[in-house]
Amino acid sequence: MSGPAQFPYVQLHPAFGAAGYAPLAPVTLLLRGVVVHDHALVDSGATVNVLPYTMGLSLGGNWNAFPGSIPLSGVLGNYPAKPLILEVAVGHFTPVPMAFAWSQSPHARLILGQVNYFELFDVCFHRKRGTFEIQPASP
Amino acid sequence: MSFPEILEAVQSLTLEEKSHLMRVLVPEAVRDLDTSNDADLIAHSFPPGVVHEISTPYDCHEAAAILTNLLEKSKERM
Repeated sequence: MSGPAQFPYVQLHPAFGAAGYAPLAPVTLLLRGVVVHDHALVDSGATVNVLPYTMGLSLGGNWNAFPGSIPLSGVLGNYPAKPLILEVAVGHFTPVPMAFAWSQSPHARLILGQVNYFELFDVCFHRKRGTFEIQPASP
Repeated sequence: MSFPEILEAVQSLTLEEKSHLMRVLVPEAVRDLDTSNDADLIAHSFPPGVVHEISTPYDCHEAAAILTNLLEKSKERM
């Protein structure tokens, strides 16, 4: 079993000083052989994982594969969202299946939330030090 | 002071003043419990156009149930 991977907080909004930093983890998204590399917000306040619409299209996702829409809240609530299951590698860890709410909202960003990212990984935030650690969850 | 009065007062601040307000109002502990909480406060407290990037789906239990169900079905097919 490998140890935790450590990542730095990343500055998103320089104008907000210390409040402008966020925990962004490097991720590799895979869908039927298509690969996208990006950074995702590790968001303990998000109920679900979120995938931006354009990113889903880049991965070759089929928007019409799932009938209807899944209900989201907040700024995402006014836009349709579909479920999409991807293989996701966080940092150097082995890819695992993750379910995303694939949102058409222009405000959507790549988010790792409680379902099901936090079910698979233990995360420890060291905000004062500007780092956070991730490792596969203990059984 | 009523909430509309507070909102009006906040909206009249400059971006620099809002930034200072954020640093004062959002304690370290809150940011650690909800790792996007500070950004959510920004998104929901300020007028559109100032910050509109962050959007956390909170309390989406129906969506969570759908995703969990699909994941289970996906595992069964494997």
